[in-house]
Amino acid sequence: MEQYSKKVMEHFFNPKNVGEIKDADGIGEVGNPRCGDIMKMYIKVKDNVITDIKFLTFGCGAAVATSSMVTEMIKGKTLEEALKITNKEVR
Amino acid sequence: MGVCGSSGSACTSGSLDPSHVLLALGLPHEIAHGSLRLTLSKENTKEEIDFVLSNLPSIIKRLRDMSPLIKK
Repeated sequence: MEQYSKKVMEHFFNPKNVGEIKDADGIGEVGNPRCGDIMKMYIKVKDNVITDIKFLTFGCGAAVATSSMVTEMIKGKTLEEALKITNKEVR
Repeated sequence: MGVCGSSGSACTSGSLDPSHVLLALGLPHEIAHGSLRLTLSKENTKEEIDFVLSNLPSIIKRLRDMSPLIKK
C-alpha cells in the first residue's frame, strides 16, 4: 500500500488556512461531486498582493494536503506570481 | 489501538470510482464518495467497536468542517 509522504501527512492532519473569507475579493471553485474532489478557495487582495487565503476541500487526504500546501505558497504573493504556480510546484 | 478503515470494498480497491452499490441505491455522488467502509471479523471485540464509536464522530466533524459542501 502506498504511503503518503511525511509532508502530505502533516498537511492533512494539521492543514493550514482552512475556512472561508466572508468578504473575499475573489472566490474560485473546481471539481465536482462525480469526481469526489471539490476545492473552494477565497482570497483577499490589497495592492495586487494576496494578503489572505482560505480553502475548503472535499476529497481525499492528498486533496486536503495539497490545498493546504498551495495556500501557504500563495499567501503574500502578487496575483501575477500566484498565477504562475502550477500543480508541478506543489510537492 | 488504531482503526483500519477504507473508502471502498477490497474488490474495487484499484478504482477511484465511488461504490456502484451506493450509487445504485440512489445516493448522490458526494455521499458515495464520502462513505467509509468498516468490516468486522469474528475476532473483533466490543471494546474495539466502542473505541471506533468514540473516535469517529470527531474525525467526521473535522472533515466536514473542511468541506465546501456542508453549510456553515
